[in-house]
Amino acid sequence: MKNPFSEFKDFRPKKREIPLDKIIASKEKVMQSLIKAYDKLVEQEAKELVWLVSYHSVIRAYASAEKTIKNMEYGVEDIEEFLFEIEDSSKLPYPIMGLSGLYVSALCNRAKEREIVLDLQNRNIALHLLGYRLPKGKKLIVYGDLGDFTGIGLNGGEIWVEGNTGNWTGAGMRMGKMVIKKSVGRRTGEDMVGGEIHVEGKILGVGNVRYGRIYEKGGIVSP
Amino acid sequence: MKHIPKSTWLKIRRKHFFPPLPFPKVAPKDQKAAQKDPKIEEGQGKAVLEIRNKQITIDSGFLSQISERMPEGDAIEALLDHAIAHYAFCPWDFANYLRLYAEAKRVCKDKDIAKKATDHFMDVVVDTYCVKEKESTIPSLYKHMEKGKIDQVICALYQKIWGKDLNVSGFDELVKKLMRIPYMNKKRWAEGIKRFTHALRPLLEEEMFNPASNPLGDHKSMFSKESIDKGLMELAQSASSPKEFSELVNDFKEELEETGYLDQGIGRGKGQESIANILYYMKLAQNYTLSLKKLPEKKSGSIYPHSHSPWEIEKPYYDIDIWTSFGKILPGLTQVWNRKEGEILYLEEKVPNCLIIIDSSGSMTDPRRNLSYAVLGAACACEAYLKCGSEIAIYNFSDAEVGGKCILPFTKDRMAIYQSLCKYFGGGTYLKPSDIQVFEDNDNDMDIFFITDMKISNFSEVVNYFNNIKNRVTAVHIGESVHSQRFALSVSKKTNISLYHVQKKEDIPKIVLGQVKEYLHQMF
Amino acid sequence: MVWSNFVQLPVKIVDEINRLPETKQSIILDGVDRGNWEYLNEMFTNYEYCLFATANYQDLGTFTIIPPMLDRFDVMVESKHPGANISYLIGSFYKKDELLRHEKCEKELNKLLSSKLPYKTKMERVEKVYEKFGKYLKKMGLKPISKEERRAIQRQMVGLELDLDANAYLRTLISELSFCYKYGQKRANEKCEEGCHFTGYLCHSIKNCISNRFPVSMKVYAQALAWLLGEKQVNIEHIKTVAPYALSHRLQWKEEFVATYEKESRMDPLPIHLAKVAVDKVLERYGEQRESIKEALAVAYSISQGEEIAPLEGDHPIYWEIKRDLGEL
Repeated sequence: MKNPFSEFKDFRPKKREIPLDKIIASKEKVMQSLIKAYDKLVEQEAKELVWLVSYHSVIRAYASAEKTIKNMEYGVEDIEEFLFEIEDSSKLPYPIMGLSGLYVSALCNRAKEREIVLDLQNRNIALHLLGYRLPKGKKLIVYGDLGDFTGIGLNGGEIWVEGNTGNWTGAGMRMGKMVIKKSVGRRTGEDMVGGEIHVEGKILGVGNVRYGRIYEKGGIVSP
Repeated sequence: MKHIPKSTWLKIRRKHFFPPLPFPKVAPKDQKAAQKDPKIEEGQGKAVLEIRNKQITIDSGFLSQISERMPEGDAIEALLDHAIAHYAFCPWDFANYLRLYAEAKRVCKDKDIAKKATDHFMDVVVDTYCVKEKESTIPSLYKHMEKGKIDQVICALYQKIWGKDLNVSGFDELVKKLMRIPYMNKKRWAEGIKRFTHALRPLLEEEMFNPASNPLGDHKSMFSKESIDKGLMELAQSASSPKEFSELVNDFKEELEETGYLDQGIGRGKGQESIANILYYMKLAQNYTLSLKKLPEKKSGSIYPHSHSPWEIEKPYYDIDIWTSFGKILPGLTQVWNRKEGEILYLEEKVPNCLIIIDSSGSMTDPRRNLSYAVLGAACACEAYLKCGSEIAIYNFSDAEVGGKCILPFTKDRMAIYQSLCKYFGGGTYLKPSDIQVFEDNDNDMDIFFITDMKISNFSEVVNYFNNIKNRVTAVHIGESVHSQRFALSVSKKTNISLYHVQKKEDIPKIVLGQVKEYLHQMF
Repeated sequence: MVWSNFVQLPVKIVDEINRLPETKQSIILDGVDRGNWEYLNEMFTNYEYCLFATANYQDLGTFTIIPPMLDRFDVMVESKHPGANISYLIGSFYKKDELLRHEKCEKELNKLLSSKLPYKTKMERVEKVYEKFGKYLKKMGLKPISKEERRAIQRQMVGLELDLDANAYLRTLISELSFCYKYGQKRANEKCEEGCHFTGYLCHSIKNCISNRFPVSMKVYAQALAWLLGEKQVNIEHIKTVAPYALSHRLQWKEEFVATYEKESRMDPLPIHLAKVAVDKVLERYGEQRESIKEALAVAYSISQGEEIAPLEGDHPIYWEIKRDLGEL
């Protein structure tokens, strides 16, 4: 019987590659590992997809996040792209904004770059807890609005937000500088022990500040 | 005027798998258009490539200029590669273009910026496709072409992703973001264009104050009416709400008018939004096919000889055909006539006219805000009847007693039908059977399509009415309630009433119009 | 047995074939298909034949052409109205119906066919009548083809190979028209499951399975087209051009597919238009993964030769068909 595939016996596929293929392939690998680590964090910290913010849960979750990304190689572009993945429900069906914020904070803190710029304008995400424990020597610039607990536990770094932030901005910060171009919510600077918060818009409410300074439209409001 | 060598065109056609496109033309820039549109000035913003209804036209002025810097044949090949790839790969059709545009608009909100972003994204996709798959001379074209700021950014991107030198430097930060987008993966274009638009938005905003049309032509005029029609049907399917569809359609109002698409009775009349809403349901309904039972043809009652079969000894003699049997009565030779009942074709299979009774009371979904299954179901029924040449009448009711009703007599005017269907009263629910009686008096053979959630205040009166009529009734109830169960029970013995339940879009194609348990008009 | 002229002649024309009742159509199936004519236990075989049939659109007195009969035709084309101007020109010819008549040849042919000579001898003498008629046509400016030329053309046509893309594309098309993931193959009496993974392919839009006569028709006509165009190989454009005409009468479309495309503006009758749409759709899909499909076929060859490699995976029915043919399913 004649082989039905015999006409193709000499066919060799032409593999045409351009640099784009390698770039995409390597980037895909990094993104897979970031998503996998995030899924692991959610699995560990969120019980039935619910995660409540508390002093201890934040510390624990951040420690887990740091552990999961310990040996990963990535850049700022990967962090930005991960933020796109959070928006895409087909890749991450159950993003939890608080845990996402902590996870991205861990990524930013561990990144090699000293200055990290994230563009969140016109996006469908409201990250909470971004900028957690940003260390000295690091600068985080965010375009767009953020959620609650921005910059809590700031540890010497600088955070610039070209937008609004929510409640509890700068809560518990130790040192460093925060500049919010628009407005902030309530309990701003709650339990902060050092550093400065500059708000160029309106402050809805100042929290219980221990040490440190808060400025509204250039004028000092605390102490 | 220059001409494109036939051999070049044949070579490029073969390269792109023989697309069904006419022979491309080389023509000078349209002077009249330049006078009308100040953007098209000498040396600024001239489109070197135009694709209109599959006809590719290359600007002869541009060709002359570019051939001073590179071989003319290579330039023609690059331009044709680009043009054909738009047809064959991205966006392929208007539906894809709309999808890309919708994603871009989610990022930048401004329609002009979204359109520019979509155009640039599609160009990057097709150029990369040509370079990777078709061994194109496009890199050489970009190297020698004059470039605006965005074009320089894109060429810097090309340098990175193609590995070719295009004489551009800088823009490293931007290129770092753009080069990570999977341009060749069709399934990820939606995600890709969002990131692309996001990265380029500041530049695109800058360009709005210094407009320069895309040198390789804008892409809005390359679609035919059929492609636009199909695109709108697909958009209606995928849009999350009528509002989303309306917004996108309004964004393309000029382009739709330009192609004459809106001259088909759509687009006239006050309030573009309501027109877009009507278009939404019209296009969405065209995605579904409802089966429609025709009234059976009448039999003549008489039988006539139809065909032959061999005669056997037990069969009667009177049906023997002596001619085909050669005058002999012998097994194997003799043939008998098989007789068949005749069918009169003067009374063909008939599709009656249809009265659509649609509930638009407060308990029903507002079709302007969210997808209304009632309007969609009724629209699908309209399409099925109109396709068969029947007429439609509409009785759109809310509280009919106090005037909350809209009556449209029998007509084939699609626009009028949809305008009546899409009206929403949002008041109480009262159906006046006497209003329907008027239609019956005009056409007692009509079918009735009744769609409601059954929460009607004069429910018993309505049930009573339906129990007494002989017309074929297709009743559709939306959602589940005690009333719908009561209705089902009360009409269960009626052979001329079929009841369907719709809870989601996918239930709609299951409706069979005019389905009856036994035909009423059969004559034996 | 006295065989009619119709049965004996190699070139047959059945005018208004849809006026034949279905039972009569069943009787002539074998004759149409293979040139074998049977009556009262006697058989007659044409050595060489071709059959043309015409049918007008349905009206009073027409029957449907049964699917087995339709399947036996290689291609279906529409004889279009020539348009007002050409139609006028045709109408203005004096005695146009007699232009191709030749009384002497016709009488000679009739006499020959009615004679009791053996069929082979008859056909040899019939060929001579054809040559005489051919000379008459030459005087009118036409160029008839002799038997030797006909044979030579057939040899040349058969010698034209399909290039790899044409070959792979044809297989891709056939796979979409015959495949069923759930039931093994497409069958007219089996309905598609809702939510089937292969909803986007042609198998979901048709009711019946394409027959094995289709690839035969395709090859013959694509080769003929390539020969007419002076090409050395059959390429994908030839396949794409011929396919709608070889498919249109063989496919039974589902209502939804018909409803989607019937209102589009077109130059062709609806069945041919639908077939063109289908062919284009498959071509688009083939274009996206042609290297992969050809590679899958090449790998299949290696596997069939005993190499221990896995067949290529893919979404399209052609990959599944390859695996099935290799016994991997």
